[in-house]
This record gives sequence, structure tokens and C-alpha cells, in this order.
Amino acid sequence: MRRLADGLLRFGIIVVFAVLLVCVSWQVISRYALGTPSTVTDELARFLFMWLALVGGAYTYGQGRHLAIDLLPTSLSGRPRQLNEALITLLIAAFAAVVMVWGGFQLVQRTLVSGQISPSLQLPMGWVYGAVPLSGLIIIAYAAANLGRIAKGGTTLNPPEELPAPKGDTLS
Amino acid sequence: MNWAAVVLFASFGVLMVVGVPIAFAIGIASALTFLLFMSFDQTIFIVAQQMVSGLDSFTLLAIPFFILAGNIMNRGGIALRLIEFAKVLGGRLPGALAHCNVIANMMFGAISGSAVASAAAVGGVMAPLQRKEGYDPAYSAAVNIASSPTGLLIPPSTALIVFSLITGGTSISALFVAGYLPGILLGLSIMVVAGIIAKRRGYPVAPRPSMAEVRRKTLDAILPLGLIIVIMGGIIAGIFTATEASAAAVLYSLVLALFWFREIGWRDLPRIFLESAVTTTIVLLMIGASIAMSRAMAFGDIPFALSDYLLMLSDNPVVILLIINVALLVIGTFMDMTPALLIFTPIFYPVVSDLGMDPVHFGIMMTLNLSIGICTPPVGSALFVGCSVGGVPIARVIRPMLPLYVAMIVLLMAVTFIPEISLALPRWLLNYG
Repeated sequence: MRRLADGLLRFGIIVVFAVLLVCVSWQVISRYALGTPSTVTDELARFLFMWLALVGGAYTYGQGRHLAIDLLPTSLSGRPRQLNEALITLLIAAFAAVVMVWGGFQLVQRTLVSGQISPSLQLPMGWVYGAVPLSGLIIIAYAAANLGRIAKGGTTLNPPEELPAPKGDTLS
Repeated sequence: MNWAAVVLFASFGVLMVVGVPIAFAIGIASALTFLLFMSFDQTIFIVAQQMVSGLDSFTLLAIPFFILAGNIMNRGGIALRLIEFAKVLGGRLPGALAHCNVIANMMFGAISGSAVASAAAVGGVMAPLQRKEGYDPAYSAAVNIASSPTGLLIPPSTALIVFSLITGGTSISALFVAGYLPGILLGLSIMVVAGIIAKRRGYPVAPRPSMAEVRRKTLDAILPLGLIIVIMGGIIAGIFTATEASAAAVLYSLVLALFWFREIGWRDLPRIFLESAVTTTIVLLMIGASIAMSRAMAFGDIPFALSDYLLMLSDNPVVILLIINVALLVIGTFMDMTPALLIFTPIFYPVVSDLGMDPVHFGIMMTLNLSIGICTPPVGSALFVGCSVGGVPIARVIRPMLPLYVAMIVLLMAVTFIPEISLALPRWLLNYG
């Protein structure tokens, strides 16, 4: 299950990123070659970017790659460590469930009711915001899997790295 | 007593210590703060809304693309060519290889703008070479670590894009141009300290390279360095916005890596795309959550309260700037640059605005200050990566880092109190301000 979900998300992320690149490149070309910047690609790029950020962010959580200060978690061992990791996972799941899924769902619903439509793609904005509850659901699924792992005595701090990369702040 | 501030910082602090990923810690702390002012339903609605609307920005698109361009350059063998070129430039100085390391970090920064990537790529190549020539590995690692943040100041710099976003649209071109001088000065001051130590320890000067070698290595580096002209030339001339320049950077580096150097093929691309996307989303989720947090702060009048408090301590701008710098240095020791920028910019920015400080000047000061933080224990991403590629335990690197910290802090003071270091170039090139 987890492997399938990982694979699907990975595929989606790569495709969306590639489409984003095409959109922004077209944006530059259309402005210089055709004289008018394309409003369609501008909007499409912004929407895909929000989806990439939120749904990709959920995948990144599944990979255990989000930036955290792990001085305390890594200094614990045995039972306290297990409990601490379970607490972290539950807090994340709670935020995802309450704010991202529940709050996000209300955001989607109210925006759909208001009938707000994006100016050039004519997309209902409610759908665009759907990335928030979807991301929340994926995070909850990963958190549930992580809880199972922790209960069996495993750890979520350093999961088997699929992507060998230095941990740390990506901007710095 | 400002209860919003208490709730916000206490909950955020506890969550962070427990080890909750920072993006989620920010989100939860903001939600708790909003609960002081509104109903539960309103709270979860507004946090969800802020998270997504904070990400609705064409400017932010520059971040994944600059990261992608850097990764393509890195995998495509560009880093190696820059290092070879740096050897030509720095070879005649005492402690030649250490200087090469600094120069290579600066050039790498001018292309990708990630201290961690640069410390890993350049340090990984330089450390074994230096060890072979009898350099103390702790010294080599320290020089690599301290010079890696030059790329955060030398454009393109994703840290400066984030700063522009949170301050509500400080000109990215001005910030980029402003970063050159402080970034180069940072590199030079590391070179001065490294050179003095190298001279004292009698580290070797590299043999004079042959003319043919110089020519070949320079030619190899010209195309990668040409990217700087594409990006910055385009931005300064007003041809590109930062986002468009970032896409151009990706296309340029793709063509270079796929067709010119041919060190990667099409089949390597999905992996590079995925890795870049993952590193980007780490930042983006934090940005989304921080937008909610800055709204929560505004609701609780937190920046206002803090600014009042600071102005009560002193109304002397010099003292206030010193206090802010010390606070940021302390924050930087345990917090990485992006979260520190995201959380503390909305707090300090109104204070320095009251003092009449230019936003570009403030952005450069903050970035330089937090650059020191990523080189310090207990949490410092450049420190960690530099030690791991240098094969030195953190405890041993601290001693040779000390004189370098001093150099960085001296430069920080200069940048803080001499606005011209940041503002002269953008004024001259862009008629800024």
C-alpha cells in the first residue's frame, strides 16, 4: 500500500514539476515572441504550484524529510523515545485532520458556494483549494502507517532513505 | 502582558523542542493563537485559507526552479569544473587549497545559492585533496563551512526571495544586487583569516599551473559561469523577473548538462526533478504555515508590542540594531535560516522600519546574521554537512571555527552600520531608493 502510494505521488510530483517548467518557459517565450504574456499559463502555473507545494509536502512528510529540531528525539532511547515519536506523529495527524482536512474542506465548500471562478482558466477556485484537504488526508494516512511502525518498535526519525540527500535546511 | 505572544511562543517553543517538524509546529502554534480571538470554526478556516493563499504567488515559483537549476549543475559535473577554475585563481596564495575552497564556494553560490549544497559539493572534493597535502582536516572543514554561506548572499538566493515575500514585496532585483558586495566581502574575510593561519602553519602554495592548463580550465568554467550573466544580466536589465530568470536558469543548465558536458542523460532527470521538488516542499510548507503565523501575530499585535518594548529599552537606533543582531545570533544557533527568516522577519521588520532602515539593507543584514547561525552548534546545517563531508567530528571543528566566527561577526557589524555596503550597488545599477 505504502509503496503504491509513494510511487503514485512520486509520479505526480515529477509530472507536475515538468509541466510547471513548461508553463513558465512558455510564459517568457510568449511575452517576447508573441508580445502578449499568456494569462492561461500564468494561472495554470500558480495553481499547479499550490498543488505541488501541498500534496508534495505530504509526500515529503511520508519520507520523513521535513525539517525538525531532533536534539531531544534522538537523545532519548527505548520507551521514552517511542512515546515521544508517537506524540509527534499524533500532533501532526491532529493538525492535518482538524485544520487541513476539516478547515480545508470548509474552505473548499464556502469557495464553491461563493461561485468564485478563476479569470482565465474559468476553474472554480474551490477545486484549486482542494489541495489542502487532500494533502491533509495523505498526511493522516502516512501518520497512521508511522504509528504502526512505532508500535512495532521501529522509528520514524530516520526511515530507510529512498532519496540520499543531506538533511537540513534547503534554503541554506 | 500580551497573551497572544505568550501562547504563540510558548506553544511553538514546546512543539519545537519535542521535535515536531517546524512547518507543523508553526501551524499548530498559529491555530492556538487564533483561538484566543475567534471561534473554533473560524480558526481552522482561516489557518487553512492562509496556508494556501500564502502559496499563491508567481514569485515563489522561482524557488523550485533555482533549486532545480542548482541540482542539475551539481549532478552535471559543473561543481568539479568550478573547483578546477578556482584552483587557477587561488593557487599562488599560502594555503592554496583552502582559498580554492572559498572561491569555489563563492562561484557555486553565484549559480545555485544553497550553502548546504555548496558545502557538500565543494567540501567533498576539496577535503581529501587537502588531507593529502597535510592540511589539518578540522581547519579545512572550518574554512569550507564558514565560506559556504557566501552563496546565500551572492544571487540568486532563495533566502532573499523568501525575505521579499514576507516583507510584502521588497524588490527582489534590488535584494539580489545588494547581496553581491556583502557576499564577496564574506568570502574575502574568510580568505584573510584562512591565509594567516595557513602561513603560520606553513601550508603549501600550489605549483604555478602551465599556460595550457590555465586556458583549458578557464574555458571549461566559462559556460557554467555564463549562467550568472543570463540570470543577473537579465534581471538587472529588466528583461526577466526573478521567476522567469529561474526558469531560464533551468533551461540553460539542462542544455549544458545534457548536451555539452554530457555527464547526465534524460533518464537521470526524473530523479533530479523529484529530489528538487522534495527539497522545495520542505520550504513551501513552512512558508504556507508562516503566512498563517504572521496573520496570527498581527491579530495579537505582537510586532507592535515587541517594538514598543524594544523602544522602551532604548531609543538609540545603534542599540536597537545591536539588540536585534544579538537576538538573531542566538536564534540562529538553534534554528535554521528559513524558519528563522519566516518567523522573525515579521517581528523585527516593523521595528527597523520605524527607525527608517531600508528593507533591502535589513534583508541583507538578517541573511548575513543567520548565515553565521547555520555554521554554529547545536543546530547548523552548514556545520553538519561540512563536518560530515570533511570527516571531522563537530567538537574538533569548533576551535578552528572561532577566528572565522570573529571575522563573520566583524563583517556583520560593518554591514549593519554601513548601509552603503548593501545599498551602493543597487543604487548604482538599478537606481534603487
